Amino acid sequence: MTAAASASNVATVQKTESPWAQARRRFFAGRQGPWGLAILGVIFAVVVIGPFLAPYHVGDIPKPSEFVFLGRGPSAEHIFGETAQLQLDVFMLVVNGGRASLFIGFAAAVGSITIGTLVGIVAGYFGGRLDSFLMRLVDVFLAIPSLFVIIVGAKILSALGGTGLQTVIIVFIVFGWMGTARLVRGQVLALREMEFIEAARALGVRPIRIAVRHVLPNAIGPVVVSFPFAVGGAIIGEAFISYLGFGVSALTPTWGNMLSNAEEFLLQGNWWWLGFPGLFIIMTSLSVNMIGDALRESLEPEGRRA
Amino acid sequence: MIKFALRRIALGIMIMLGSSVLIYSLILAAPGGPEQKFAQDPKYTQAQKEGYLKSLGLDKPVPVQYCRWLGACRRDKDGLDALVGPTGLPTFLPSGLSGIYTGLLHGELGYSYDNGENVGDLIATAALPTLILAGLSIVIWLSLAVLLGVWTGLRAGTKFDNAVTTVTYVSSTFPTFILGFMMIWIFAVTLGLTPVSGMTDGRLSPAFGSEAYWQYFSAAPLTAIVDLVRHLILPVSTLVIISVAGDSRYVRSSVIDALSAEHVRTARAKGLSSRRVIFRHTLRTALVPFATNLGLAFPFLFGGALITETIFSWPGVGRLTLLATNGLDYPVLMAILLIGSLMVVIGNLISDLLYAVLDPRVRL
Repeated sequence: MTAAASASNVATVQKTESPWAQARRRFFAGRQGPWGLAILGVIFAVVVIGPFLAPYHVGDIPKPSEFVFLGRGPSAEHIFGETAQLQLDVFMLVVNGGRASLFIGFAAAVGSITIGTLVGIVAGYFGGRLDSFLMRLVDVFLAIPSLFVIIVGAKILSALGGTGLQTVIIVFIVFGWMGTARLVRGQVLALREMEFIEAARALGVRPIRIAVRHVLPNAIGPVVVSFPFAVGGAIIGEAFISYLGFGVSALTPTWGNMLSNAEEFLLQGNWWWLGFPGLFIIMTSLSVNMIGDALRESLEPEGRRA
Repeated sequence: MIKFALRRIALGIMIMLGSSVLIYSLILAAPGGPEQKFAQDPKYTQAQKEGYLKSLGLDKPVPVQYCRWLGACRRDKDGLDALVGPTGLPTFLPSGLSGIYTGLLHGELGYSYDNGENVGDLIATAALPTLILAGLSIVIWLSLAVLLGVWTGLRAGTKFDNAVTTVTYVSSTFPTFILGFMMIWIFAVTLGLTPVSGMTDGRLSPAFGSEAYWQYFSAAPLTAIVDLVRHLILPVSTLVIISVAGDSRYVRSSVIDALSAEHVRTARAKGLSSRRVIFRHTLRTALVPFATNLGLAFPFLFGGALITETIFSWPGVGRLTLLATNGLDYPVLMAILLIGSLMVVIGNLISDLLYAVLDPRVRL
């Protein structure tokens, strides 16, 4: 019912607005998009500004007024409570861990989507043997269960000596580009047969220029949609493999590392050490999913499912 | 149809070959390996080290090693002779025809570096708990997804639909392991209703899968099953809550699409009862795409519960993978990755073939 209404809307404004302006308007007209952005904005603000507001430094070993092995719950002094054992401030860990987690999420998403887009354009535009080779490669990468191979890959890289953030980012890029490649190839195949591309070819524009100037901007919509999902996937993935101990070195606080340390104390009643990073992971996941869905609806209104 | 099926099967075999190469290269890049054992030991002479590597076939070029691991080359011959078995037939054929028993193609998955056990046996032992957990979850979540999806799809736009859709939307974005922690915290720690983790109660019975366990099981089947079910509650609910959301939304939107289709309108216009319109005309078309997705649930039976198994210390394939990864137990890892991709390829094949049967337009 709303589909028909917005379709007529689109038809009337099309003359005055560029497609991107339309998409922006649709994005902000909905509820999901602005809310998702707001939640993500709050998370970013806490993670970026938080370290300056808090009276503690993440490397400090605190000298608490009272020694409690299990740590103390949220209070005015420690709004997210204290960890067990060392009684570190959970808020500081969440804030500093968030920086690493968000960085990994965005870097992995940018990397895998860039590679996927390149592969997709090359495969779709140049076609032929190259296309079938690249698509079989995609099939092969997709056939291996991703979580398993990500864990094994991260372990192998860290056994080879890389325990930093880059290890995790590389693994996510190597095993995360395939979906985008397939998506972009499909778009390019459809675009390649369109008249304006044919016109450009007839005018003698070089293939590289056609690919970059004419095909890419028109194929980019679904890629933009997939970006937030990729960020969310990488953040959750990092949290999980760090929780398992195969990700970022335990010395760097990330949300996943916090879960890993806190897990055994959950059973003894320390819920805040695990709960607050968990809450931030959930909020991040929820907000990027909302942004992604809102982007999908505003960029591909015709493909919208009820 | 047969031609379509054969083409898909050939493609599947190609993909499996490709993924075996990829997995092999991944493990080649990994540190460690048999020669590391002696690298620092001055007692071994150079000749002994070389002899040891030779006995393992590691003096051969990498493609030959791969071919032998795969079972397409004999391990006692070189060059083109290696491709023909003692019976005179090509080595890649089943053992009964080629007379070759080594390599993946003939079911030899190797031996664990860790404890020397046969990898096939290790995986078989771990596969049963995973099958129980994942199988039960799939059955519950698929039925629940159809139920919820149809129910909300038929009432699209109502308050009930909005409530369910919002809840499933939020729960679908939950990371599995966070939900697992929440379940443990609420139901096991705070309320004390269920066990925290594991598959059996250590105070009641021996570890699941051992001989002693099956003796215990046959002596007191009821107690054993009740104990198993108590341990299944949390992991199964976690998997169901996470997975039901996406599928029920999928069913919901195809029900909505089907409701606005021409033939449904015709059926209504003919004056058919609304029950008949819904069951005969709407659901039949709406559930076709969902049915074809069932093939995709197939790989889940082997590897889908990795996260859940970890959180709840379930003694399945997921835990075996983590143990093997921690110990860099390459034969086990290679076998798990290969079986995992085989399941994915077979699942895709089932799904494609189902689709082609149900919707003939697909067979291009």
